[in-house]
Amino acid sequence: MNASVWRALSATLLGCVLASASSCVVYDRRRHDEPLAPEVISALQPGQSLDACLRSLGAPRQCFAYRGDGVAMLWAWSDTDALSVDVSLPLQENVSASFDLDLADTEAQGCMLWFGPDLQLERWQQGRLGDLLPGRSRPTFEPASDEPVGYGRTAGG
Amino acid sequence: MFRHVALLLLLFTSACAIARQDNNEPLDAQLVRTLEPGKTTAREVVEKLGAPTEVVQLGRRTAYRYDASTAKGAVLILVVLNFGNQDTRSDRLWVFFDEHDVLSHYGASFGTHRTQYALPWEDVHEASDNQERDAGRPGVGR
Repeated sequence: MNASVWRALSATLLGCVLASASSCVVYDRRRHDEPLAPEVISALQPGQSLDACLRSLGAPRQCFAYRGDGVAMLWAWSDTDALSVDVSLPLQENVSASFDLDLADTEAQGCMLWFGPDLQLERWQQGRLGDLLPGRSRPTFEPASDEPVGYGRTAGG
Repeated sequence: MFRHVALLLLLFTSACAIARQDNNEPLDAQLVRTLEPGKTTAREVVEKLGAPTEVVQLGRRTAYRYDASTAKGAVLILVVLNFGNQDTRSDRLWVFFDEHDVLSHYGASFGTHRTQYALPWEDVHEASDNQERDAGRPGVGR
């Protein structure tokens, strides 16, 4: 058989498979808050006051304690694309095969600003949220020295 | 004939849907503008704006967060090929108090009124759209 016959047979076979299968393609996009304008970020200067930064950037998503009376502020936004393909193919009675493919780009972006105890801008960093946020860990339990022996504390030997 | 039937079938089985979800009341921008750093106390802020969503201790200082969000979703279902989009924006206010509970700074962003029903390929962050919507919200438009 020549190549054109093979191509026709392959196309027919693929057509039969697709006709008997139920397939679904979904393109989903989710946008959360507006990104900070690049020109606003590039205009930041070390030593700038908290007031000036809040005026130009607006309210942050979150604030964290930093170096005693200092504060770290996070602005965050996201634009997520997800393409999913779902193909279900009946093989026999009561038996079917399905195929799911999800291609999601879920990296949220943000900009963190650190202000010292005098509330002057020390530094800032832009990037993925995972790189900007401090690592999560459970706080350790530190009982006060005058706390009575009881729940969560044992008497010393 | 088959092609026409298939097209008719697609027309009758295709659909679109929209949905909206609001979280908290949008912040009153005009009320926020009445806050005076160096003068307004934490008690007055709570009397004006109600209970904050979050209180954060920052050394000797304290910060309160107020927020609200609106999400608008649109879905286009063409049976085999489907599209979905969700646009979420927030109103957010952070008020910072010194160790005497007097307002020292505040930062506000108003975005709930900018949320749009759109499809994935549409730009929802166009400056002209934002300006138009800002003009319709008291205390936000310039």
